[in-house]
Amino acid sequence: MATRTLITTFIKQFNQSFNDELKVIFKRFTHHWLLWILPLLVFTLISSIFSMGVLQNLPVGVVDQDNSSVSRLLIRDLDAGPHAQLINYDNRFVQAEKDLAKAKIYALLYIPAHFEDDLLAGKQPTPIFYYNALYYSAGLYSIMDYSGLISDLNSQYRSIMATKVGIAMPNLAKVNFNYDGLFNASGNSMYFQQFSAVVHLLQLFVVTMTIHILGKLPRGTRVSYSSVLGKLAPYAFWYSALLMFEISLLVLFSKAYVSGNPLYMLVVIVFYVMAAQSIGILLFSITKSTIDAYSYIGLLVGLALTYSGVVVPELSMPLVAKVISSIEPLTYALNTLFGLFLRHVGAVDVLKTCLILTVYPIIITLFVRNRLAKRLYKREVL
Amino acid sequence: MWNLYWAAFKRMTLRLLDQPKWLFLLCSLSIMSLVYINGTVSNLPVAVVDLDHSPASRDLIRALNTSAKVDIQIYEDSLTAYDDINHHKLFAVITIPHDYQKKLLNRETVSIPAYGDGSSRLANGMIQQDFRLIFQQLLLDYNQKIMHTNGFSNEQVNIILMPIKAQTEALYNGGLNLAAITFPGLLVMLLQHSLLIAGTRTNIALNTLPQGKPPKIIFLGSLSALIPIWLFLSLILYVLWPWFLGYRQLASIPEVLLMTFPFLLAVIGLSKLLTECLRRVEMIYLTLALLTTPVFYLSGTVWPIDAMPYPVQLIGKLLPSTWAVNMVASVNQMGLSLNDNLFNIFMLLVLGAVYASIGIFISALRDGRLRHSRLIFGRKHQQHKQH
Repeated sequence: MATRTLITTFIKQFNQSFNDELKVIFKRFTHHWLLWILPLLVFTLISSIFSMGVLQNLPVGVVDQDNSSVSRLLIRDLDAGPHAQLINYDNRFVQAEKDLAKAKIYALLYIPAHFEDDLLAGKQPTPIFYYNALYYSAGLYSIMDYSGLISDLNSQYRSIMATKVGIAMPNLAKVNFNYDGLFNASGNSMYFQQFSAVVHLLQLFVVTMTIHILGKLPRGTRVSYSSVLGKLAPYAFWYSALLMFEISLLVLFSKAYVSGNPLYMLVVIVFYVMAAQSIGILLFSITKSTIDAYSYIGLLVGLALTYSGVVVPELSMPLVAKVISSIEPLTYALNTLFGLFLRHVGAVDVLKTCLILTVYPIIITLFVRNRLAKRLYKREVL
Repeated sequence: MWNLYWAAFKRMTLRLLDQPKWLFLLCSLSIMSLVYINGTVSNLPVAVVDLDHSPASRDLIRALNTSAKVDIQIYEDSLTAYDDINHHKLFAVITIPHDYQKKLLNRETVSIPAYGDGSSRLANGMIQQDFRLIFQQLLLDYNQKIMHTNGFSNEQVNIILMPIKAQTEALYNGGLNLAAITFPGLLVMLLQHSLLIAGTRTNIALNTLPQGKPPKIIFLGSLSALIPIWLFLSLILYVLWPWFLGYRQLASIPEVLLMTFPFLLAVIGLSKLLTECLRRVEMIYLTLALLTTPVFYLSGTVWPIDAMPYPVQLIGKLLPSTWAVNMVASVNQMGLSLNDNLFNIFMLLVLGAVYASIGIFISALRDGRLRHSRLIFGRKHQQHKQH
């Protein structure tokens, strides 16, 4: 009987609070700012940054000290390839090296003097392709066409060399190693990076909004946990819809392939948003002021950015980093959401992720229930 | 005047030392750095599905296993391997076809398909590069043996197999350290973000004092007190952190201070403008914290600036961090001198001056000082006309 009354009171308070909040959700500028203006601005900015999708025609310097027909052929073919756009530095190697260090060019092809003569004389000349491994993406892409070109040139000159030696050339082994990337839903090589940024940023907006809502609650009165939840519920629905909208836009613009069920995606997103809200509640409860709670969001930015697996894959992380990564809700949400696109994630996996994401609100509720009430009762420390 | 400046400077410094919230940046950075402890990608589980089970396929597996970046695991069938890559248990799958040795001996073309997890772009690119080199070397060794048996001498084999001995050389980050790739952008972003918050909070706190706005010299004294603290942070970030994470660090301490100083001035200038735009302490957190990720991407280390659309390039160039990242990376990790970065320094100073001027102008407009001076000027002009 007592449990029934408790549930009825909970639902009543939740509903009351939910309905009250619905009426004021778009009444303040700050709410507009956090609910759609800034999220969409950031989404547009990130999408624009990576809009080109693939790195092509990257500036690459060339210092040709030979100026022979073979060196010119190499330069012409490299320039005609999709990745590099060659800039001639004549013999100004030092200047080219400086430009490489200033990231004005991302690679530098050095062809030594007597390249063609040495090639025909069997002296194995060595053209060197330096690339900037600090700006790794650009550096790696700018040398992408080089090994293929050199191997073509080598096959052309192999028979000439063999004829000179005077022994019949035997058939050589031919092995093609074809390496390709899986789980790339679109032609955009930065698709996953954008996807993870969108999902990660939404977590930050949800946490910030939750702290903001809690910070605006009147002080000095006892607020029940059910009414706090009721107050936050409309935002959970809003942010879930917003993330679905942003992901749809991303898929549409990137012409990405989707193999999973979008409904599963919505379910995971709702649980993810609730997990993020519980982190907001936790931050608010353990800090003395709203501003202090906000300042911890910076830590979340860094953690989510580093541990999402975009830079260092989870499989290669040291143990301690794997543990931290497993604490972050983003890891589970991101893996399942992206998996729903390409990895044939089924209902069982979705359920598993939702259960893991439910652990956050449950544990945090147990941890902060009394603390939150006290925190809301106390005056804000400035 | 000097006494007021010094008092404000001292008060602010003592406050920053008394409540060292700026140390939070180092805590945050320490946690982030844990992921980079191994330096580069290491021991990524890669499946080799050996359908051939021949001496040649075992040679290939042994060669692949020489890469420190991967940990080769033998799988009997492709389905299990692809299921495991699907469930994040493997990073890549290489399949050796059942007729690998036969085709190799018959000198027929044989293809070896390999698939890596494309969602981790950097790691995927790194192991692709490693595997390609291993394959080239293996093929070269094999073909050398064929040619030796056909009567070619060592020298002839070398010349014929490789008439051109092409090389690619990774500069500035030899071991492909992941922290070295990420940190130039990340550290500048952290410094900019923390100083923007501190600068804007200081400006707002002084603007809203109960006794009214203090004289400008107090603002100057309080804001300049931020500089020594952030210079100290820059030393930790640009000198100590590379040493800790094992990547190249070339600039001397005076050079680090000299290149950070104009950057800090530019950020303080920007904080003045942001103060006038945001006005409330809460708005700083509701805006700046959420913009850090795009600011990091705009810096050009992850994705080159040339590959961004022009309006985005312009936004990037309006941020002090973009110029600072280029300067810090080129001096601290690529060995250029400060003389080679005069344009970056110039741009930082210009940005700082422009932002501070716009901020001061908006502030004067808000306070009514401009209208007041225009009013006085207008009255004088009228009186002059009447005379």
